[in-house]
Amino acid sequence: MKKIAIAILLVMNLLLFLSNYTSAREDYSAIIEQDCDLCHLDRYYPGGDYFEAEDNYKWKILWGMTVIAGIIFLVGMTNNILLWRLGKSKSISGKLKWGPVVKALLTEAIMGRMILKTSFIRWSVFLGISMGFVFIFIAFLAFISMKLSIGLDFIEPAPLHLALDLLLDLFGVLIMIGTVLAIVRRYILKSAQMENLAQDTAAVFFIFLIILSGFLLEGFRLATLPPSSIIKFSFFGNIIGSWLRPFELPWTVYHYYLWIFHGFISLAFVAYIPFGKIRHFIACPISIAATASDKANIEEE
Amino acid sequence: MNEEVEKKVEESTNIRKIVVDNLSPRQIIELDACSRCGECVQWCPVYNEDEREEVTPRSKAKRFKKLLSSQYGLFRADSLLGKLFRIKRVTSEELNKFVADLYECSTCRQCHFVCPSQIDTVELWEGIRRSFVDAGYGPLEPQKNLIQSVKSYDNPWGQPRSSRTRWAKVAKRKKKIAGEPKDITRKKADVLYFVGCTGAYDVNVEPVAINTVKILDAAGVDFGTLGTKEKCCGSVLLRMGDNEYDRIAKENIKQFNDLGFTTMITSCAGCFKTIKHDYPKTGKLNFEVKHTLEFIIDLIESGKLKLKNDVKMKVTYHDPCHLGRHSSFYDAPRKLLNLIPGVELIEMERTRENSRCCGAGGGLKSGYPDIQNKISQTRIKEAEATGATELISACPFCYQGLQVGIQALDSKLTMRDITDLVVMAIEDKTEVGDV
Repeated sequence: MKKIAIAILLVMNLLLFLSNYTSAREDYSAIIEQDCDLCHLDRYYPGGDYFEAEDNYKWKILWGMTVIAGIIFLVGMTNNILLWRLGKSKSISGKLKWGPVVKALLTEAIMGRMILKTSFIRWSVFLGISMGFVFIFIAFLAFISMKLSIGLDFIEPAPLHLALDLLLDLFGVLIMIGTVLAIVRRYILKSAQMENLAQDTAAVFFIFLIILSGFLLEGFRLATLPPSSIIKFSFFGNIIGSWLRPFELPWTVYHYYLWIFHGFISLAFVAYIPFGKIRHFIACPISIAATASDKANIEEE
Repeated sequence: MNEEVEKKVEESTNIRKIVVDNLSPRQIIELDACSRCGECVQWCPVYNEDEREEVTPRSKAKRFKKLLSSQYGLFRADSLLGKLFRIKRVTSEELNKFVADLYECSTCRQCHFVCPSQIDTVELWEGIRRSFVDAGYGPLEPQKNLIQSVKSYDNPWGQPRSSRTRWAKVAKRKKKIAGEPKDITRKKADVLYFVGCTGAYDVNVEPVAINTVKILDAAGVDFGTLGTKEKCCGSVLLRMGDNEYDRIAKENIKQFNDLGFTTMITSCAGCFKTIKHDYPKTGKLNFEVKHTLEFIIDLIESGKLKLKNDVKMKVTYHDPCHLGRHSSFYDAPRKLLNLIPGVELIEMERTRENSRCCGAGGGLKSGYPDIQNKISQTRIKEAEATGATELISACPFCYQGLQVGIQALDSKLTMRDITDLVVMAIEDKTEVGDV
């Protein structure tokens, strides 16, 4: 694992070396406030001051929303756990068989083998959405744990930052593809077996808005930067950025407000998890693991 | 007038609490694991004949979760949060409708095999059924007769205990078997042949028992039966959710363990599944449980049973749900058919894990005979499409269930138990009945 990480970092550094990473930089003043004010025009921000808006509004709003979403999530999950705990019988027969459980989680819960057997389009939806989220989560976890364990900041050293940009775009595109296919399958192809409840629509709607606002956010950010090799690591956001760049609009300001919206919709999604069909993201792996263990115990008998 | 309406509404919403102690946390989590993808809908034999969303596994999971949420948890209907979010109580009409739909299922387990979340559906339905029976809402009226019969007579067919060995007496009198099998409760034997209620009481199916005795005699197996002391295995009760199953299982386990035999064989897929897989959850068994056909293969391979006659037949094999999907028993019946000289096996379109159910199990035949009839007809049409002349199975209950379809369609197919072909292959002169 360590070797792979080193190899990835080396490749990223090589790409940077071959790119025009340094030459693409503009001649900024190197005084943070002055450079920022070039794009972030104070009058558009709450309180008429960009830095105040950043410090006093944006993060406070985010943390406020996080607390509310967290409370709703916890209440919902507590309710679910209370219901789950109503069952008093044994959940698995015999001992938990770790080998078959891990295998089943890999092949079924992660790779969706059974879904692939039945429908390629459904499998693409599954893999796109679920794996996109899972990998984004893992990527974040990896970067955060690197910061916490060895103090390696993933914002400052360019290779790590770019690696994160690349991975987030890659998995974001996966989610986007999955979501678009889900919309096509659910509302255009209207598969005969499909049941469209309000909570299904809500789930697709949430994911679509999160991913769309995420990419727009990246596009707004990159639209204000000069074209260079480094922004190509955000390959999808860069495409959106290149479409927006010709328009002389205050993208950084839009970015500010869209960032809050993106945070809101993402946190609303988190809060919604215990109440809607997204619950199956948590429940499915449990069911798959328990079935695999039971099957192994029966075979052993 | 308003008071009357209010009283009616109160009565309809005043349902008893459904206690789900008998379920496991995993089973309740599985209600949430259903993504309502609808894979089960495509494969459900009941939905195939009665295209109502309410009978689908996904609908059952969703509605039961709704019922639980309205009675338990932070958002239950009578809680502060429940009132705040206007969570409605489940009315008695909704509840009764749900119970009726819950029993419209043959517990074939096809839904489990196509479920990407691998929800153990049948165990879940059986557990939920038990909760409803405990609360006094199940089973359905027609099913109560079967259950009452098991409780009163130790068999679901309303027959007296003394008639359990009638098949053997008649067979002996008609010289179909050399003698009645010995009573293992009086004289010890290595092998117990557990005949099962359908094989023992249904005259149309009793040749299954006669064939089995002939085969065991021909191989020189030291075996016996429980005679009139044999009791229903309790499968009917378990599938329909009656807790009387626990008593029957405990009594049977004690009786079996005390007899000291080494192997139990049974020709009934339902008895096999119940004793082999469900009994160990109630108590330890000190013997091995085998389906008859598995035991016959052992006899053939050890040279104790010689298949000397050519049985020139084009056959197709129906996987009984309790033998196949419930017990992963797919290769053995095919192996046995291939061992019988002259038999040509032609598979149906849906076989093994995806074999179409005959519709007889899970109380469906007694609760919804019309639906069972339609399911059986669909299976028979599938069997006819193979061009085979004989439809083979290894379960007396499937035998009964498929006969319904054969008669309804006036099909030319002959329904046979797998032991029938074995007897044809070993006997000089075939005297088997119509089975």
